Amino acid sequence: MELLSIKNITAGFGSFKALDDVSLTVNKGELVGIIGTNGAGKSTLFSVITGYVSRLSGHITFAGETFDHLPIHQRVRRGLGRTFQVPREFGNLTVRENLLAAAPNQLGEKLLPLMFMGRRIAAEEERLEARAREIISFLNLSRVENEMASKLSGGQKKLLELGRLLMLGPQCILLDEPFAGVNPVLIGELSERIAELNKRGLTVVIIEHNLAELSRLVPRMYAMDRGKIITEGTAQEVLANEQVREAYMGGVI
Amino acid sequence: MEGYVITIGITILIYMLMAGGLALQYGFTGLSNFGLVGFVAIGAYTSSILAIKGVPIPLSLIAATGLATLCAYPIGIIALRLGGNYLAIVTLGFSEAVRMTLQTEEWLTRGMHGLTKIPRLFSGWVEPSRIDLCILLLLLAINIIAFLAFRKLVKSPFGRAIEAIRDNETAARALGKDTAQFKTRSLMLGAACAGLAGGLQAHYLTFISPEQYVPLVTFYVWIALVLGGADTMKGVIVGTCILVGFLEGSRFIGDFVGGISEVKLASVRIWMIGMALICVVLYRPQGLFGRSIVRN
Amino acid sequence: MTLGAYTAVASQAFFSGSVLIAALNAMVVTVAVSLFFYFWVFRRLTGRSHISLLISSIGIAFVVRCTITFFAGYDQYMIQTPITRAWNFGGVRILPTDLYVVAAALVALIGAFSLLHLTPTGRKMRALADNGDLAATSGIREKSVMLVLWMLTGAFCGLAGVLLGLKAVVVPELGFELLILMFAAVILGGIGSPVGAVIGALIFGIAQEWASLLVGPPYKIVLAFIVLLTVLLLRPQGILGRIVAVR
Repeated sequence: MELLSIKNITAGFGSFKALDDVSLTVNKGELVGIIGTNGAGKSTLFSVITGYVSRLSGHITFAGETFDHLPIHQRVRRGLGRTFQVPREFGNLTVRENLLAAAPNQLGEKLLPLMFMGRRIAAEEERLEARAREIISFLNLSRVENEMASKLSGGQKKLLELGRLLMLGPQCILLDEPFAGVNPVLIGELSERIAELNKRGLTVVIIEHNLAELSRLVPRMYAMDRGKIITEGTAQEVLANEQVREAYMGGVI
Repeated sequence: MEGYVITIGITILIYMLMAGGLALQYGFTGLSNFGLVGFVAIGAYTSSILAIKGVPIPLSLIAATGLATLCAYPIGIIALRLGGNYLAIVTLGFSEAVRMTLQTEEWLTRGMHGLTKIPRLFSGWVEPSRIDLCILLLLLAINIIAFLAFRKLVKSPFGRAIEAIRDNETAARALGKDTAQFKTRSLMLGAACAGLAGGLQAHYLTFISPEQYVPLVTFYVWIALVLGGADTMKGVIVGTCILVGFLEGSRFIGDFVGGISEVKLASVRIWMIGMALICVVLYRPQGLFGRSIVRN
Repeated sequence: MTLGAYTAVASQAFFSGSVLIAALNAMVVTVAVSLFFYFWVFRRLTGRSHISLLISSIGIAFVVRCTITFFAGYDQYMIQTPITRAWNFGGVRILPTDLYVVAAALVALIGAFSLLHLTPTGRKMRALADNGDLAATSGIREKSVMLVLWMLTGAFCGLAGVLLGLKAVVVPELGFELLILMFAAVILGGIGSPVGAVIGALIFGIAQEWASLLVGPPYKIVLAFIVLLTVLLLRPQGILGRIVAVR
């Protein structure tokens, strides 16, 4: 079943087209990769899907609903989450607070209930705490649970971002270079967690430079170059594609 | 002497209320409001005009707080689209626009002449010699309530959300937070404090004029925050005390160092404040009691 | 960076020039002051938040202004100019002083543009503004470029101060009152676009004088504020500014 569908998306500034007539579909429960060189338009694609960059033409549909004009936070509330290339942790909050802050639709975030519904908010907090603890232990972050997020290593920050996304209970997550700047040991772990999440039914789309790790992880991938999708298929098929080899390393892979 | 101590106490408490509001906006939400004094002025004029027309002071104060809060709403809507720098400029412009309007619309504000004979707090309730003390106690009570409320607020889910927005707004949006709405609320809460402080000050001074509400006042409050640290309540309180202590204390420099005229003394005082600002930013960016490790 | 810098240097500058012939003198002083604060403050704040720049700028503005008032007091000063008869251009009478002011401003602007777009230093400056890290790795020495930039800022403010002083009474608040108007003009044109800034300032200046006739001079600032809001809401990047992509 189709979950995320992108049809003929074009985006850019002036005559420069960061995305040129891009179409792709992701089915429910799928694990899909997107590869491409720097500037191929991968991150821009994520930004358009999630609403950070506006498209010039084309359509985005998620879970049967058009996303074309929804503001960012509305898209997230429909169950579509993303991470960033550079980790964006809430540096002055602890790991636990980072996760708690991520939970959607909290009653305690509104001012009036805060004044008059103390008990319900306390109950809500308890529920969230339990959920956060579960995710923290799933991601092996228990040791740093009460550390300031700014003190974490690059890999831990990526795990934290993943954890925050999970607090949303999303249907689909878009991961922007989850392995960049992560040490090899953690890469394995991160990769394992992503696979595990996917097995539980979460749809995942990954942008990645680390081809070896990605091709091990995803059964299907797209390749992009200069704003266009050049091919699509299994990891072997895509990496064997002449155009991909050309674009990637001048033919050397 | 006792009277003087009370006066200083009142000044400190009024500034502290403003500083508390600004701390909520800047220290906890990361909003750089450089137009605080605009909200103070709105509060002061609203309450004064109403009270002069015969509205009981508690009601006029509530109206003042309310109007200042409402004025923050459109600015919050704009904050929705702007980064930190723009907000600083827009709010600074806002406060100057308010001041100019107060100066020009003489039918309402009596322009440069200022409003006189503003009803005093407690007058007619207690004997005149006790009024100042009562005002001091009232301010103390209001500040204690306000700061307890702040503490509860920043520890609540709401506080967590605004701190998250301060640390990384893009990420907060990526998590589905309607950041503009949070910022607007924080701005309005801070403006409420400023408006209330303005109203209280007006009913203490019994005279106000537009030139009281120059950006320098905003800068003073910023200085208090920068000195003490904007993201802890302790920092805000200590910062305000240091600031007012210095402003008042430095009046006596002239007594110790002879041969300085009043005008030159004023220059020296502000010079020292400027120096203090530069030095704190350079050598202790988080302030005396601040805890922020990172700031983007 | 320049944004924060403006706050400081603007206020510091407007005062140093007091005699017509000493315009050069004034510029030398402002350049020196500007460099001093660059070395002492701004150089160390590279990479820090805009707010810390802004706050230290306010601090610097206080320090400079108070140094001036300490020695000069709060009295009003006039820059002495020889009294001349207005020239007549087909019915429009223009004072020679006004012409000199316009000419000097034009020359300065042309100078700035040629520096920014024709010389290697200017190119480096623009590269730095675009992407500091990238520029640094391509071998641009940030320090020397910043040095030139700050000297330039100082000189410009000095000149602006003198020109302004020719037209108005010189008081310590001179710089501050202009600050909001300046920001409004720059935002109107688009931050990071010098041509935009000039166009913005022009539109703004004309609109303002025109509005003064309609609703009275005190509303100048209110107008500035309204213009600022409108532009920011409709076109946050200004008339000639570019959109910066978020990564």
